[in-house]
Amino acid sequence: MIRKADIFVICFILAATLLATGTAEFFKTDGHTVNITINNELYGSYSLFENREIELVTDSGRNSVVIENGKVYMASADCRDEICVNHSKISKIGDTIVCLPHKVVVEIK
Amino acid sequence: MVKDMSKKVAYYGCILSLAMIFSYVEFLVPFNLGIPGIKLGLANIIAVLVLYKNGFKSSMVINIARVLLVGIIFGNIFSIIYSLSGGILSVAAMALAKKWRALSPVGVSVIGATAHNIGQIAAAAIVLETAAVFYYLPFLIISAVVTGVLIGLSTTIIISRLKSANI
Repeated sequence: MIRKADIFVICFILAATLLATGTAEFFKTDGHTVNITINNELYGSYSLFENREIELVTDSGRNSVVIENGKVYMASADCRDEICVNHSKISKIGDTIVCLPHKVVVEIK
Repeated sequence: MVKDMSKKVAYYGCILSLAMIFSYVEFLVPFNLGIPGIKLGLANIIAVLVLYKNGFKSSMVINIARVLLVGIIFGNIFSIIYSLSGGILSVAAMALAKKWRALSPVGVSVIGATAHNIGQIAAAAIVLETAAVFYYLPFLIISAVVTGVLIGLSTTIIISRLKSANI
């Protein structure tokens, strides 16, 4: 039912997608500021070049964002899944760390 | 001649309502993988089926009519714009892909699903005036390949069953 040409098309589409994504990732440029939004409202804008720790206390809980040597990560949070804490450090324009339970978005600009 | 016409009207009426029902079923039972915009695309079974049985023009007309009707009943102007752009691109891409005889409905449907997502994201980028939506595209395309294979396999089975039933 599935023919060779079908498999070729599937592989081609997947390969092209991976290649395009990889290229886009490679050409991403370093950011300079970090925007933190809570509940879709801008909470604060911070420079990527100053090391600091930002404590966020919201109705839903607590998050701690750390800026260190041009990179940003979520040091700790009391959300239920801790996906944001496990996220790798971000530094390129457009990179985000999202804490969905607390509606916190950390984005590099 | 008159008989042919009424046969046609009845046939396309059934096909169009079937496509709408597929869209509705998907609306009732969302197939959710956690990423917005990922759908099984059940109605694409009809687009592929009509493309194989009745050709490009019929498939395009049925698909556009389905998107407009379903959009007016259940959606809003934005869902119509996104689906229309995805749907038109998808049927056009599938008609081109079908010209390559080595492909089965599976490959054609995968190409259609991928084109649908590209069309939808392009429309979203224009409407929302941001290129950031393109970050979704890799996830959407991978899911399109999976759902495209499933839809293609179902359509292959349906085509052969219809053939043996002489419809």
